[in-house]
Amino acid sequence: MSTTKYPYAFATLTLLFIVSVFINVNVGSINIPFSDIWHSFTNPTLVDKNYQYIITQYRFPKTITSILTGIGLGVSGLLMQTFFRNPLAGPFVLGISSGASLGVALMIMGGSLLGISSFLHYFSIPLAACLGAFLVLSVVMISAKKIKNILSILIIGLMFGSFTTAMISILSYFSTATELQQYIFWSFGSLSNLQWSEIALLTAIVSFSCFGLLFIIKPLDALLLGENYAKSLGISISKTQTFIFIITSLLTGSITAFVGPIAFIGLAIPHISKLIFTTSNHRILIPAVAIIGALVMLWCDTISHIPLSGKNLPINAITSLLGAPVVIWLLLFKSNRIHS
Amino acid sequence: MKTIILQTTQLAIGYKQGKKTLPICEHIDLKIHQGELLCLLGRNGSGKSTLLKTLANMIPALEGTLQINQNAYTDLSTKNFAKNIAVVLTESLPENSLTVYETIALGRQPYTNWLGTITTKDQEIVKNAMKLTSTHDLQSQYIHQLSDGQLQRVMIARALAQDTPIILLDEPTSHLDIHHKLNIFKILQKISKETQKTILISTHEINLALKTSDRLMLIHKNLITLGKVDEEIVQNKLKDIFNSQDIHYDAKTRQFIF
Repeated sequence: MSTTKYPYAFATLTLLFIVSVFINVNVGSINIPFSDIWHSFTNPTLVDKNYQYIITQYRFPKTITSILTGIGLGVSGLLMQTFFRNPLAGPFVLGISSGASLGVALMIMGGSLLGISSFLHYFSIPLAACLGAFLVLSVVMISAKKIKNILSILIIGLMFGSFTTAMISILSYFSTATELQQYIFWSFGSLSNLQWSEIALLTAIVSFSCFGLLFIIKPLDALLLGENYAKSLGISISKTQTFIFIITSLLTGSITAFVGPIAFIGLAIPHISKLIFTTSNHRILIPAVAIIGALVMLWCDTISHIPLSGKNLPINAITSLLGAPVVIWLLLFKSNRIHS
Repeated sequence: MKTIILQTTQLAIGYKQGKKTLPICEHIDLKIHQGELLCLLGRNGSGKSTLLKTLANMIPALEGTLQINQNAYTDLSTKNFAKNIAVVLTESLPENSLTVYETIALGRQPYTNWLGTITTKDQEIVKNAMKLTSTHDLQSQYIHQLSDGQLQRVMIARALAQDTPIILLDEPTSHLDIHHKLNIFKILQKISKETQKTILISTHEINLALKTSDRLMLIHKNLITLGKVDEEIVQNKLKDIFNSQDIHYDAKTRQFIF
């Protein structure tokens, strides 16, 4: 796409985004008419009481969570791909989501194993998830300093995935039925269990991270030429790394904590965006990834809420159904451009 | 008297492996002048890349000091350093969708604001860099579509756009055919003449180096010799390094014959 077409592309995406928000609020076990959705923005007194309740207490929170999740995971994926110079990098592949899961598992199920009464404070799960994400990301980044081969780094990420799975099975073995159930439900992923206060916290974290992103657009562009060229252009690699580090752990950690481990979005969204915009320029790519991420998550959520025998599909199943083919397609048709 | 732009005193280069140091060359005293075209020659494994990387501040010196315009490397910030030395490296670029223009414009990073905005002045400099390297016609192509020769010209343009008094190039003509090799050397010669930049090329192209460079830097058996092509010491060293039963140096025509 040539530079002159970017404004049109963004306008189209914004339009699609608005339509998707309406459809997302509309679809569910009860279909809410579009006019009521519109009125709930403009004049809430016109809206049916029951609809109003569903919209404000259930549908809107879910819609906003979907948007935040799409933005956050997409952006983390983009940062990982640029930093590790690998199209297959992403929070899930590199084991960062697994780290967050381990943090949550320790929080929910670790109590009985360690003999401490678990105090499930309001912020303790997000905090544990962020710490878990932070821990794994630091190990992956330290390994990246030592090992220059990027494939090995991906393998280290995968190993972390298996390691955390093992740890979680041990934890589940020793935990009580209620704790286990709580963890399993968390791991399915759900965009619809958040309170408004939790959404406020998530919004704050995502906005803070996106603000931080502004400061690394320039170094990210330089990193497109590789670390040595970036350094020769006056970029401080360690400072940039710390920035990417904090932003990714915050985003992946908090999103994983609130909505569960969501697969493939972090990997697939940057690719879809790069395909549409055919650019590597982060000033274009970051907003593109944010809006496309939000769009895709909205649709994943909408699909998962299409009433089929009165049950919702787990969101993780939907994202994997979408994401896995994208990865296969990447390997099949773009493999000549994937360097190791 | 020529101005000295780059100077090393008692420099030792090599690698650190844990606590052990593995020096390749020690006690290096070099004085490199403004505006000269230098070629760095030596056999494989002689330490050409190590020397170049040390001069580019990509690996630390084991001992001694390095100065640009009498400022020690250690006193220069990364950003200031980037305004003094630009590099063209051998490593392949990561997969990306940068256009030629965007790639060359990245060379402006040490001068642009925190968002990396390209001003009209930057555009002017980029345009000039494209002119000197004849990359103007390629500007809207993606760099992954380029041939090796074109890509090398783009990377040279990017280094030019960085607007530094010194450009270091690590084997810029490997994988190129004879036409493109000549072309790159000609471009570099033109740049050094027109812009008064100091250009240091590490290369295996002995004959091209002999013809184009103002001075030669020879690295052999842990020793570095720097001098004009016709100086006896350089001539002897050349024979020392490269002469064998398969190849010999012909002093009259100033080339190696094989």
